[in-house]
Amino acid sequence: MTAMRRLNAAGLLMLAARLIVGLVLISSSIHKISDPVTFLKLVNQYGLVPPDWPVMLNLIAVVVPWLEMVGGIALLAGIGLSGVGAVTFLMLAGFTAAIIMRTPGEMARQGKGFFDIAFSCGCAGSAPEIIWWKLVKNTGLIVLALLITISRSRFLTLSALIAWLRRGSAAPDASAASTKADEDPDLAGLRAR
Amino acid sequence: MSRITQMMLEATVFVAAAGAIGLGYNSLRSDGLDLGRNYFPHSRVAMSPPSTEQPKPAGPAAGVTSEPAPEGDPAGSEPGGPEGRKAADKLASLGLQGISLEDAYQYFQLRDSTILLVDARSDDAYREGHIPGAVQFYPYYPDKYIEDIRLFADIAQVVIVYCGGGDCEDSISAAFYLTTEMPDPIPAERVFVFEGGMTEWKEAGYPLVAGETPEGDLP
Repeated sequence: MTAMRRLNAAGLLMLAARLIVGLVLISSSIHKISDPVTFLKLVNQYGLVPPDWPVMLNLIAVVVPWLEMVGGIALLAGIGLSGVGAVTFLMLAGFTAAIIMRTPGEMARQGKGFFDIAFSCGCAGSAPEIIWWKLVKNTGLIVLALLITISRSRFLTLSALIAWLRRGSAAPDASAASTKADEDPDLAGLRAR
Repeated sequence: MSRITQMMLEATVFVAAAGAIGLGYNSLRSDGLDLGRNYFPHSRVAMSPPSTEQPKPAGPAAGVTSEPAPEGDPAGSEPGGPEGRKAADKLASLGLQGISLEDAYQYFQLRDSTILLVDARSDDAYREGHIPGAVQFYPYYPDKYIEDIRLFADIAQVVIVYCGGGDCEDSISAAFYLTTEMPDPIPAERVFVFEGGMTEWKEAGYPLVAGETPEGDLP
């Protein structure tokens, strides 16, 4: 626990979370952007949007991939981390809930148990995915998105770089570290010790 | 500014920016989605309570005179047990009818101009391999393909529509478009959905050609 606190205080945990979630989001979005019809069909298979609301379904197919792409870039660059993290958290929670809701129907249709079930979830590409493993991965991503949302660390972010450029003194890492020390109670505590 | 306020502000800017980029990009690309179009009109019809009295379509052999018609009624074939019956019910609720692999293959062997095979898959899938003579009609971009269909639709007495098989519903979308949405639509009694699609066709070892034209054009 202490090691995790030290990692978090140094900004490394947040940096790892940003890299993992950011890269996953970007890689997930590329296929959806390049082939909007396939993604539209996969979204439609969930049956979450009433058939009388085609505009809503089309908007989801057009906007969600770009939420992932822009969100992934923002996380890698370190821009608007709290807001992007919160939206990412909500998206991932929504996707995961949709997969969970669809799973019993697919189990009945395919006649397979929970640990054998696989279907195209529209997550990354159109190939069928093992669902229990997908849910485990999504749970991990949700935890990381939550960490990004609540963490105050700005280690190796564009925000810290801009702040350093504005001040025109000291190295960006040192600046970021001092900023963190001011803002992050964990780091302040560690330094005091 | 409190953290919550800052988070809300960042989230709003992020969603607005991503939405604007997504909508802008979609409007500029040639294969963008038409936001106002219902791409799955058959979903709404299929969800309606089934009519207790379905119109019985005429047999597909009507009008096919150059060769003997395949034996049996293709619409009556419901392979696959309960799943097959469920699929047949769904087709019936849309005013469509299914056709089995065997019957589809028999019609294919006739090689008659009054029999039209329609491949409802994407460009890449069609190019990689399709049933010889099948005309492509990907139902999500109907304007791109409708002229090719029009060339054959007027004389075709039997139209067999297929896609990838399995969970694929593009053949149903295409058949629904051809029988209801297309200007001067094809009568539904002439249109058959081969739900086994390419999966069953390949498994049976039946012929395929690659390329962008019905008879194939790749070496």
